[in-house]
Amino acid sequence: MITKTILVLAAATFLANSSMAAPIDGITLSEDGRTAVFSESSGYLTTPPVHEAGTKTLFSNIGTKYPKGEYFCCFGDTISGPDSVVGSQNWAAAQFASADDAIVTEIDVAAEWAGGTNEITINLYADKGGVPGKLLKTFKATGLEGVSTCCAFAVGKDKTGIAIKGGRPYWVALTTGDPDTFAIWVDNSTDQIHGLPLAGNTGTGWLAAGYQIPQLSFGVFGK
Amino acid sequence: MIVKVLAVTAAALVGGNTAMASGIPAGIILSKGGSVTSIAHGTGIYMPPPRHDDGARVIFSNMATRYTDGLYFCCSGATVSASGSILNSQSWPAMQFTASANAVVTEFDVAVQLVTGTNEVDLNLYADDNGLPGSLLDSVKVTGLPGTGSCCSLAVAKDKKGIPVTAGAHYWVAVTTDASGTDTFANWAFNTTDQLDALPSAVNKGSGWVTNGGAVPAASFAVYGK
Repeated sequence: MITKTILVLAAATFLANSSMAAPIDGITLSEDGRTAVFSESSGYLTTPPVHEAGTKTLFSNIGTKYPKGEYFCCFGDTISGPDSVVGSQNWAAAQFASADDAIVTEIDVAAEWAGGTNEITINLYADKGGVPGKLLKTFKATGLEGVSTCCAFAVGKDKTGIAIKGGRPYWVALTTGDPDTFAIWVDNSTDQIHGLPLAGNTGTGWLAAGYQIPQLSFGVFGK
Repeated sequence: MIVKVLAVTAAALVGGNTAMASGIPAGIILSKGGSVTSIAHGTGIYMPPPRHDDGARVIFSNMATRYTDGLYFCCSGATVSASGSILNSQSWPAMQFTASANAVVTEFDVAVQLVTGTNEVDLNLYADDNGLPGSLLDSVKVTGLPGTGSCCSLAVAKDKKGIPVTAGAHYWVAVTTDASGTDTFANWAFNTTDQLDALPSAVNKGSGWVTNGGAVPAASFAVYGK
């Protein structure tokens, strides 16, 4: 069962609407367009999701020890459709592993909306030779918070769950369903040293993109 | 004065006001106006933070000491530049803090990283003067900064005698350049503990300190004392 979830408070809604008039004001992209930086945070608090009772963390780099810094507000990877203001498709995937066999029931991704259709797709993939392989689950998330806020997440929930094997690599990917979407998957705030394998898809399939330091911010939860 | 900013193909569409600067290292991203310097990817290089003197207590800190590999954000911060740097303009940032208690400041640590140019900056402690840095209370030259994109080394200013501060009063920590570092280009990395609350900030672009509004996130620093 697919549950569409996203946390948006009034402030984030206001921000998003304000940004619509100038959807990319304050954003600077790297030369290859894949890294987005915002000059400053909006200072808007949007609350993170509450997990089901008994949920355990399978992987997380979310900064829960600092509730106002669960991720870094203002720097991340471009997620865009081909008709977005960026002008090209940019999908990103981060690899993770669970220590033990588990059932994934929730994936939280620190995604912020920058322009176009306010919707992204959260995907869970098996690994195939170091890039995303078989698609295990897809969640559509709408109503993303605006750029440079903290600390809401795009959330995908599946009560039945998806079985994963301990010690094996899996991938969480953010993709676009609508071709004009421009969003940012922001970086984590807890580890600036250790990378995670990254893959990108610019329209010709998933390709390995080295290690991402700092890691993109996300958590995988389950039972 | 023209601030030269990294231009990007897509950012030409997106940023709107970017322009190519010669000599900017690959991977460095400057915001519109040049006040924020970023690097596209961290280097993964870890350098430990300093040890404090026994008995030192925290007067102010926004450092993420609960995450030893994430003391601050590796890859984005406030631009620090001398007028002769590759940016061709001076930019000295300052962050305000409020002393949590009557104390004597014996150390202040700043998450500043070298981008290019002479590897040195001055760390300064100022009294507040109507919302801007006022009287200079202490200044320490620091060399051998870590490269941008690394973590978790800090530029450290120590003063054994100490500088008295008053609880509730405002003070400023500023990163500046001087005559021996006329081409320094560095960045003062942002904190990772608070993306919501602003710290008053100021900037000196060559004609004195002016307000730069509330910095969110603020640059990362800590003030210690006894």
